[in-house]
Amino acid sequence: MEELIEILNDIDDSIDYENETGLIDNHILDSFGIITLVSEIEEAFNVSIDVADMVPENFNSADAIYAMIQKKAN
Amino acid sequence: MSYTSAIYLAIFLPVTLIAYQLTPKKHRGKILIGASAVFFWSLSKWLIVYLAGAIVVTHYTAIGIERAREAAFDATPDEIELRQEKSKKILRLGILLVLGTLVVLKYTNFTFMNVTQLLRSFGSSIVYKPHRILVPIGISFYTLESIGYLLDVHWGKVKAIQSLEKTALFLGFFPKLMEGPICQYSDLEGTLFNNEPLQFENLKRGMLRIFWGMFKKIVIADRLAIIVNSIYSNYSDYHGGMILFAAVGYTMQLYMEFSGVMDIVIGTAELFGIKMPENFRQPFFAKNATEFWQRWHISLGKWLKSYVFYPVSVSKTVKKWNQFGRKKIGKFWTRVGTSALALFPVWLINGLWHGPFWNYIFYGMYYFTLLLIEVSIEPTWKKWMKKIHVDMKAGWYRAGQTVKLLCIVFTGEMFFRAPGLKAGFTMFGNLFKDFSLAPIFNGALEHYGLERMDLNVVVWGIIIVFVFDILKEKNKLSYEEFNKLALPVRWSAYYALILAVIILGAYGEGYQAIDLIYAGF
Amino acid sequence: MKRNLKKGTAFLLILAAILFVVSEFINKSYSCNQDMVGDRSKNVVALEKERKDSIDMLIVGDSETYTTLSPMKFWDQCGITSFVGGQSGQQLSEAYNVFQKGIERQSPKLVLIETNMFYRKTNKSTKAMNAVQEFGNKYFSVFNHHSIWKKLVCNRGIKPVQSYKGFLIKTQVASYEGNGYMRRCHGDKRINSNAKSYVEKIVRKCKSRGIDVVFYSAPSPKNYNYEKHRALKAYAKRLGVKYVDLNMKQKILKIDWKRDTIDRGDHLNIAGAEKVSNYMIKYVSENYKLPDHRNDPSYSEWNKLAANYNKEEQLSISRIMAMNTGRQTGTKNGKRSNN
Repeated sequence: MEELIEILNDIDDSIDYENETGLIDNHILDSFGIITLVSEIEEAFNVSIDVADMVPENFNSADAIYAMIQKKAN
Repeated sequence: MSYTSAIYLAIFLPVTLIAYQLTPKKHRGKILIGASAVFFWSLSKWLIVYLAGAIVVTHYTAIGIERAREAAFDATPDEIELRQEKSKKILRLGILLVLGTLVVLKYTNFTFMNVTQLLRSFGSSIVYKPHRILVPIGISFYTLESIGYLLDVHWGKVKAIQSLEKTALFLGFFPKLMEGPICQYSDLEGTLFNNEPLQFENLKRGMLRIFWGMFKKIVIADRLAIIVNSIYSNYSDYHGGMILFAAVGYTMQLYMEFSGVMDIVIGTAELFGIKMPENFRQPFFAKNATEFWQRWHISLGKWLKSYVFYPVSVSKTVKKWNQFGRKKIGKFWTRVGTSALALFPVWLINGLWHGPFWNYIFYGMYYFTLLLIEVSIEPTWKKWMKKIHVDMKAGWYRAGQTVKLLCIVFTGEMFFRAPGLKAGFTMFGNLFKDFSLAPIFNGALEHYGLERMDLNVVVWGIIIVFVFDILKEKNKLSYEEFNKLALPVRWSAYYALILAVIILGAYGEGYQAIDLIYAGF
Repeated sequence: MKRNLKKGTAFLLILAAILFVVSEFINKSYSCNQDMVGDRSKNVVALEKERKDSIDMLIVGDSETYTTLSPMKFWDQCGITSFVGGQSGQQLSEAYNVFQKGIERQSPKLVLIETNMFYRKTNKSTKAMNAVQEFGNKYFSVFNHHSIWKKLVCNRGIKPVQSYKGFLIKTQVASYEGNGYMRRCHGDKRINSNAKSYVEKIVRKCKSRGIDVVFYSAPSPKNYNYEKHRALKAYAKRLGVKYVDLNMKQKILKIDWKRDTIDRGDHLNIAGAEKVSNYMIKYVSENYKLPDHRNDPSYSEWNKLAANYNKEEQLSISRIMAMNTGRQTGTKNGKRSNN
């Protein structure tokens, strides 16, 4: 989780990732942020994210992103 | 019959509403389909077979995909792989059919013209005579919806629709036929098939929205159309301030018209208790071009993002590029490269989608370049600003951003509207010739078919719309709050709006009915 | 549910009442004040008010009519009484209505039809659409005459434009710089088929009443070219109507495109209109025998108007002549233009 927050902060450090639950719905993270995030996650956690995972629910909060990574890793 | 015509508002809608209400719940979907067929017929007659064809193909392809994907519990990985392959094959066939129809109908002439022209430059003497091909209304919109839905089923994001009636309604629902919004299945599945009885609350809300849209379209946009058309049809006669006026005027016309029609569309759906996705979100309050496109024609942007941008960005090629880049050329250039790879097809398709013309392709490439620059320099820029202690939320900084954005948008729309790419460049060049704003203010504008009073209406109309946009942007405008006001106040507001549309509308004697712009794409 | 139904009905009834009141108000303003009439309909309403059977020549068409043919000059030079029933952007269906009204109260012996409207795009409309519109217009004149608000809001301040039997004196200058817009070429520009049906209706009616018809094309680089000339010439021939294309008579007319146009070759100003009128006066008096009313006391009103007209015309032309001709638009001394 900490590693994920670090990646997120690298993309934009002005956001309170611990508490924000509308990263996509509130237009905080844009599509460029997401593709950067995806490539960083793939690198850091050694998972492969595919198109079917690219839904808002998976990216709305740090927890959701983390949950997705966990699911992918298994 | 278009959404702003008297027959749509005074006959078609009331009749459909009453028929809908009087029909038993089970059969209400059929009423909506029937109404959609009548609506389509009034615009494109027999070409309705294309829509019917697309519906049938989409319906059975989706079911085929889902059947192929459904694996037994004890399926081996190999079997799952096999099923995936099969699903992919069916998907490809379905997309080939619906997309193929669109491509053949819309792009045949363009392709052959350009190919023969290319051949001619190598000495060939082939001449291609363009054929007149009739294109059904809304094909660009429902084709995208169909492709998006099939991909969603293939990816397992949504379940395939089991009844043909529902597929027909999803692709052919009349309010969105002409100009969208381009809906994803998940946008509509919650409300489109409920067949709830009409509700007073929905009717009120929907009508209010419809008349607000009418105000934007026939009071403001149709007036601007007169003057914009007359400048664009003789574009080479103008320079300086008049070109600027034309570019700004067209952008305003397009915004008022497209967002106004969207209000009518969304309002119409609301009458039946159906929720449609928004297509505009105060676009001129965006910080930059990237954000502008998240607020302008949202449904097209969202479609391209979901079905082009993301798939490309997680494709094998891009993943390989990421791995390669990280090792060899550093984070910054890898990011730029990834963005370029994912963005290029988005903007090529965006340009082409509007029609087979070079100026649309240029328009796409224009935004491709701008967005790529923005995304590339943004992180560095932010760091610099932080270093020199510039508050990027300060008023003056935001004002600067807005001016820059407006310049970008006005220039883009100038090329977009120009009759051909060459004309666009001519106009762009003329913009800087003898630049003077005098013709805008010395009354010369009144030569183009609008009286001073009309111009006043346009200016005040735009101001009113922007005041509402500001309120919406600041979350200070809510229907619920409005609904709490005393009845006489609310009714006066309704009557004022309706009267404004009837009295100030640019219709009837002395005005030409203006075709919907986006219905032409 | 019942309560809502009542509320909804009340809302619609009040709306109908408001529309009714507004419509009545508009009807009233119309009938008591001529200036209330929209600029576009002014000529039509004025035509209806002309003394019965006093007009011998009727002109219909779009803005190219009232910027090219001046009835006062026809009167001054050979005592012909004429009227311009032109409207800006006139549709042929409207031209037909004007013509109908014209022959109801008047008995013109010659009808001139300006041809620019033959190429105007018409609104596509179906029977159902027309029926809805007609219903609305019939019971609530607010739909029909809603543009009257412009007059109600700003009637003060703006001097009503003096119309001389439908003709408007325009004094702005904005040069047309091109040349050779009537270059010879092949090919015809097809005439709008919807327009054709109305033209033919007018021509048929005229023939049955022994009224002569002439098509004419006003000089206008913006609106005409050789392809249109060919098509119009052939069309006129087919209908057995005389056709005068003034775009082809530039050598005789001597139009100075630097000075004589108000908007870069779309419309003519008074200096250009004078030249066209003089030519057409000659053409009409040579080809048709229209009565000279100058010594008829019942037409004394025409003499008075002509005196005013001549003064204004001379003043305007001398102003235009004194002007530097560059690429400029709208002069301060010019009147408001409303084409």
